[in-house]
Amino acid sequence: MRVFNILFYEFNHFRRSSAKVLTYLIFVFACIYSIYSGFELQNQQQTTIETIKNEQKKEILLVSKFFQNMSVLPGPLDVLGYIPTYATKHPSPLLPLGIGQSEQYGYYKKITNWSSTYDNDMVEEIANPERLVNGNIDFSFLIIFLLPILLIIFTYNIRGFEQDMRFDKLIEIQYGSISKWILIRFIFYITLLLLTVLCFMFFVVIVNDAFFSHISEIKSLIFLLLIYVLFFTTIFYFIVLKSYGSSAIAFKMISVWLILCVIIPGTVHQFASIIYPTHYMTDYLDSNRKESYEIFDLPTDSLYVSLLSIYPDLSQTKHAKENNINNDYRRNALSAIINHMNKSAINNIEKQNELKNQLICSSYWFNPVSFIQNKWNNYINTDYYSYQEYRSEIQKILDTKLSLLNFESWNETEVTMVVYEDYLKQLNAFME
Amino acid sequence: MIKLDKVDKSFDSYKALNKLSLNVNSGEIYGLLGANGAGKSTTLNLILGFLKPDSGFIKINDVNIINTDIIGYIPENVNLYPYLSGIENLDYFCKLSGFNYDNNELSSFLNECGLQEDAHNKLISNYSKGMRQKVGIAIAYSKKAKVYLLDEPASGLDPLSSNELSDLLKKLAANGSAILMASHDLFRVRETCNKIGILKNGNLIKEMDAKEITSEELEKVYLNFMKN
Amino acid sequence: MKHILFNELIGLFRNRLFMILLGVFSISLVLTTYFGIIHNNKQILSQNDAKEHIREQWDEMNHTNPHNAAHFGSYAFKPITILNSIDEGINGITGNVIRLEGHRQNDVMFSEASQSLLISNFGKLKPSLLLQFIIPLFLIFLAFNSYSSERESGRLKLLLIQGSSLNKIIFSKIIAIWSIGLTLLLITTFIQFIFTNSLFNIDILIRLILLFLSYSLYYLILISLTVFLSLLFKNSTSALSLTLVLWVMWVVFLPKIFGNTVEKINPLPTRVEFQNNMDNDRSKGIDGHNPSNERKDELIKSTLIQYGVNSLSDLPVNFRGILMQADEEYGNSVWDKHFGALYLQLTNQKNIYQFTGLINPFASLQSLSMATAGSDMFHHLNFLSQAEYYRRDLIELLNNKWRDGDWDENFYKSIKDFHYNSPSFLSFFWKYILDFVFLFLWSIILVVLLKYLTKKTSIV
Repeated sequence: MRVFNILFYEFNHFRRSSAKVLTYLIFVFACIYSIYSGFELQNQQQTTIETIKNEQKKEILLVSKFFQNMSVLPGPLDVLGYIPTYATKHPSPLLPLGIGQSEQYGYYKKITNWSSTYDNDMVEEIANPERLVNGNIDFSFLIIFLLPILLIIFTYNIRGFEQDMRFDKLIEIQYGSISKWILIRFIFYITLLLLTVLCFMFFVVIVNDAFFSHISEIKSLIFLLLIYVLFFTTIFYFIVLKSYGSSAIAFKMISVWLILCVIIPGTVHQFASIIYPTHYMTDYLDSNRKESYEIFDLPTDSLYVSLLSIYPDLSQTKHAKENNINNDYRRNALSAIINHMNKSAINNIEKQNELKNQLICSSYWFNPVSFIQNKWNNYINTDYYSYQEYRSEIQKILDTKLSLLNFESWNETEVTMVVYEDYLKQLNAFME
Repeated sequence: MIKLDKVDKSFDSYKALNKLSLNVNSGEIYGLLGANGAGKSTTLNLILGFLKPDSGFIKINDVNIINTDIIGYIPENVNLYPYLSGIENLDYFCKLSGFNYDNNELSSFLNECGLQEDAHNKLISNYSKGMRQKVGIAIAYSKKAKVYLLDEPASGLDPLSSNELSDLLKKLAANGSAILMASHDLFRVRETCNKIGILKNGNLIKEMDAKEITSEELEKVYLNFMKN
Repeated sequence: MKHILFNELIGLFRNRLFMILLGVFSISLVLTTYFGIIHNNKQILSQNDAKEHIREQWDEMNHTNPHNAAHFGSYAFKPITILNSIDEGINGITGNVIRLEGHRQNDVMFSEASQSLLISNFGKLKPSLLLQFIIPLFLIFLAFNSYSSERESGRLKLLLIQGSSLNKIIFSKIIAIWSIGLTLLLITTFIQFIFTNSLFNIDILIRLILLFLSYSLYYLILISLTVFLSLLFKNSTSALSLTLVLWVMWVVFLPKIFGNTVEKINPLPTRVEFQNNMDNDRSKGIDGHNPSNERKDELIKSTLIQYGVNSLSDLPVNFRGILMQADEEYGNSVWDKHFGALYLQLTNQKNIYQFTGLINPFASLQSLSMATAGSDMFHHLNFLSQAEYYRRDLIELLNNKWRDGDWDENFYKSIKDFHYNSPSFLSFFWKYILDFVFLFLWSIILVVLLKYLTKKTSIV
């Protein structure tokens, strides 16, 4: 009963403190704004993807109609050349809960046989770079950075006020356990904050109908939220317990926030940049330029050898018996070899990035904010690894396209509507 | 030296002082008694120039304009800078009023105000309330104040310090200063002052000569006025 | 006034917690500035290696024809300015390399932000992070009770009776706390100067001075505002809470909200829209590889007339070189149209955003900090433009050589690499005039308000 009374009086204290109510309302407003921006980004991405898909469908429809009217379809090279190939990364239905690194990368790509996963169109959407530096008020930012500040504003004068007014001893005499009294008052604010945040999370889940499809991610996000709030609450609780006066408490709490949310991540960031400076991907530039041009200059027999090293089964094809490369097939052979070179260069880049990521991950034990941030982004599919996965999917489609181009032409496959549809299926297999 | 003539002061609809008139002459210590909210602090703030009277006038040394150069003020709690020593605090406040004393002079002021020599160079944060009060008086004394205004000077002081304060004030009065102290410590006022006034709801309801009344009689008169 | 100022400083220097914090901040600034310089140097070395590597490849192009060389292309690396070590600005999120080749204009690629997991939301631990986020908080904590502590302790009356004035007391305190901020700024600029002075020129010096001035004004604004609120509320806790809420609004909320709003007012095209529009305009022109349209016929006619011959085979020059250059020039006009519009849109966005300095001086500070460090959007756009103009000159040179024939390895070796001419700050000064004006305006208004308030404030 006494617990209930403390909670009740805390509610009175809260509603009569205009500064706290105002701060809470600002937070709620920020949540609404962030979710609105999240939905907007999601819609924009979906609309762009839809536009691309419609264009693709239109083109396919036009070509297939044209083919249907032909008695004999052209060879595989021409047919495959008329298949517009795209890869897109669909936004997760949980995107309004955090846009993560999604503004750092592209999410759609036209794939030609000369494509690679580090092409120009893989860079971020056109955006104002200064706006990107300041970032968005996205929901994860509110949770990770502002929720602790809100907690500070709510709790810095728990006991601090009584100490300032010199009646803290009176509380102790009246209630007995000051630590329990502080804890109960903390519980009121944590409950208020958690309920608010959870309401917004469920709103997004319901609007995007993601409850059943993303139940494990939702559970993980809630778990992450709970441990994060608990983490800060524990620190703030001990600060209140061990300090005297609201100014001292506010000062210590803000220092902790600065250290955890700004200084440690900033230090790790700077350290990681010194150890692994931005790389200029010279391997990739080489494979894209010098080595590619050397391949262009290769005599046909050397080209044949190189191509067979990538596709040994090509030796079993009809065209392989000629021990040479038909001029018509030469460009496909070139693109396959260049793709192969690009892949190994990109592999090196990914490895280098992975080293940097490992360094970042190894800092998690003293850098909990980055841990929570990256985990959160991971569940919403907006972290580095989600985009790495997208790059692998692009690579798979590209490999399929090149393999089809080479094998089907070398096998001198006779293309029928059934074969054409099979090509379509294979090249769209990785599109959602 | 201090003359208030029919001074009125209101805060919104609340009348803090009502036609207050009082005189404190040179060499006189005037004790202003009254309950909380009687108007004692308002009276001091008016004399200090922090408040302006609605009507009536205040003269110090027969001049209508308040001249802070000749006023010394000792608040209830002399909260000086804790990171400075007693002598440094005195030096700082002297410099603010344009006096540049050397260390010997500063030390002699503190001595005259009863602060032990070995405490002069200790940080104020280590001082008792009584010791801080002495530095406060030294600040007023060093600027050669002719008028001293004290707001509850004995509040929180132990009996010995309180007694020392009385002696010090008497010494200052003997040198020709006019002293006005607001207090609700009947005993200390009776012991220190020559003249006593009782304020109630902004009205000076009684003035008496301290020599003509005993402490017990003063208490009786005071309580009588307060109850009615 | 000097006595009060001096006393304030004594008070601060005799406070153990203050001295510890001052020590921590000073050491942090020294270290972050130093490590910022180390990071810069490492990045410059890595970039130089990449440049040399690319140059070697270029020089090895012995026998290829200039058209192949145009396709082979070159790369422009985004330069790292000296003051990037203080404020990295947008450099962490923009690309660093741009491929320069014939027929097409590429995007700048390989941003640092895309190369790893997300680390920090407020940027690396560079001096700018400390100077923009941490030091201001320290100054707020020093200033928030400067008035109320005197008032609540009763010392204020004593000070006034001793002949001081509220105006003097307040401004002495502001100057004392401001001098702490200035000292920390001086440490940063001094360390920067010590370790990089060999690279200094007048422009860098002007930039460093203006950077110092911008932060100084911002600190003055922040301290004055804190004291102003403490005078207004007379209660230190309320003053502190309100200042902190304002600070959070300034540094966290408003930049993000205004940034987004400005982008909504002046929307940018999506990449796919932008590219389609460019492609559409491009396809209307001469395509060097599919020369079968009217433009080509017109070009043939005019070329034949120019050289006074009847057929292409009689031309003393290679017509394909002429064709390529004509196509290039058409492509350039398409680029000018689309990228010109895009850059204009970005510039408009920035101009509108700069106006938010009227209610958020932090926006002006941030803009000036990046600007003086040479790491803001205007400098980035300048780099992109210079890279594009270099590309045009390079491709024109190659096309002309292809037209005229007679190339050898010396020709390729004689072609200079892209060199970025860093614009002088004064040439960009007008772009930032609003930021300066707002910082000055805030400072003046607050000082005037404080003067007014000190007169109106009742001591009792």
